[in-house]
Amino acid sequence: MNAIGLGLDTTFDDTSAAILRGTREVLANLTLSQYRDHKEFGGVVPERASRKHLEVIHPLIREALAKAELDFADLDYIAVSNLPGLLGSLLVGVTVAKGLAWSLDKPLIGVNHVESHPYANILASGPWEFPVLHLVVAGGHTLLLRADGHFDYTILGRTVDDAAGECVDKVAKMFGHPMPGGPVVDRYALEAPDHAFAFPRPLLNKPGLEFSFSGLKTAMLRFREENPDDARKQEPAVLSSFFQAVVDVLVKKTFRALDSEQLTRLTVSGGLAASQKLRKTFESECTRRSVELFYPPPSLCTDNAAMVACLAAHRYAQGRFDDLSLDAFPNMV
Amino acid sequence: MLVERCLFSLEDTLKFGNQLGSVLFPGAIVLLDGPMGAGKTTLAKGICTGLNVPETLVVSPTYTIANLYPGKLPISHVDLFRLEQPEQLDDFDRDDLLPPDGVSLVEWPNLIQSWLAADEPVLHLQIGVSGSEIRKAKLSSAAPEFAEILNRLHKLP
Repeated sequence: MNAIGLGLDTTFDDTSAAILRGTREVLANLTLSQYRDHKEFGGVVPERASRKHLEVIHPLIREALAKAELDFADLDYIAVSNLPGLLGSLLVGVTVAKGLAWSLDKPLIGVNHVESHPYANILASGPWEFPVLHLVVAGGHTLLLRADGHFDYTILGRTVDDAAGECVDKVAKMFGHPMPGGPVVDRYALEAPDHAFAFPRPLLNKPGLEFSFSGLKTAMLRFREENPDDARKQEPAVLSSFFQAVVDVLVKKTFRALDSEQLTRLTVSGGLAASQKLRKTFESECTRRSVELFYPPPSLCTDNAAMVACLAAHRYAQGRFDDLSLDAFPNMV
Repeated sequence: MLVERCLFSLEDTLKFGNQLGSVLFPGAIVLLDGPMGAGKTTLAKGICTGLNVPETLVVSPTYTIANLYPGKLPISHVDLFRLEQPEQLDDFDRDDLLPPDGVSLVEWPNLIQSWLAADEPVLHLQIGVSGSEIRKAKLSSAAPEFAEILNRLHKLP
């Protein structure tokens, strides 16, 4: 089966359109980043997000079709992220997708954006077997999911306050780096000593699989106030040690979940997974413990519509469609 | 009226939030102000539990801008940390962020002041960190709807 799908993603700050053939063949995957396009405003400008999505989404879809050398008539289904995200932004994608599905008389498939992150791994390295553990570390979500089949999930753990990515961005901002601060922190993490300072690993000493990163953020704030000299002169080592704390929590909780669920397969995905430090740590730990690891390249970690189309391709195969009453929801569930 | 409360621990912050949340009414707007790491989201968690929302459902809306929770009343949990200029609010519908029939909790509320008229039921809740773990919460409101609530909170232990 080689159905051709259009995937759309307008959940947060990026507008993305992708064309997928079958479950793995990405014919086009175009993303306009509000971060890049709005550098002149000094970073992300979310208020512009929905207006900007509206301006670029149609040209972007046409460009994706041109790149794939296809026409609207060649599409078999239309997929769109309809949760979670910024309501105004989500509605742009959902409305365009409904319009296309209706006018082309093709099935509409609404996708949970966070649920689609792991599917970047199918694009990158092929399908996994079940059961599998998914760690999703996206800007606004940190999540451990057990999957016993496509769309058959158990949520094992999630953040009780800030997501890991949010914590990294905010601590970077605290040290004067513009949002998103992940890349600069990751660079320090690779170059500077990662155990020069001891920072807390929230909830690591407690049983359970919930995450909490708000206390670490506060600890960094206090450290900066109490040790202004270290914070200034040794910033790379401070931020590297901070990121080590984040990595420790993510890696240890993930292996705790693999152990308690007796799983031997793991996927990692989401924006923070673009971190080379996190990738290296997972690669070496998974080798050591004989866990099969799926880890996508950085280009598929950040938000993109190809992963949305990939999840939708699996829904299409099962004939699970949505009707035109599909709505947008800001929350995960 | 100004009410001040010292919050000695995380549990204290949650409990105080719970007391406040349980007396909030439809249309109430709580502006949660304070520096990064002061405990605004923790306080919001407490307030939501006072409105019968499970604590674990309440997470930071920094990335989503607004989380909606179904409680005793609908709750809109807003965070404007990522917004930098007043015009940035123009793309939002006021009723989406501040539902007239629900309770609104707004973190990093500076920019939203331009939306608020003088006679609206707004509670200013300033939270700050002093020393290690101790937080100080300052509550004030010019709205008559909050007079009795502040009075009651003032008398609580």
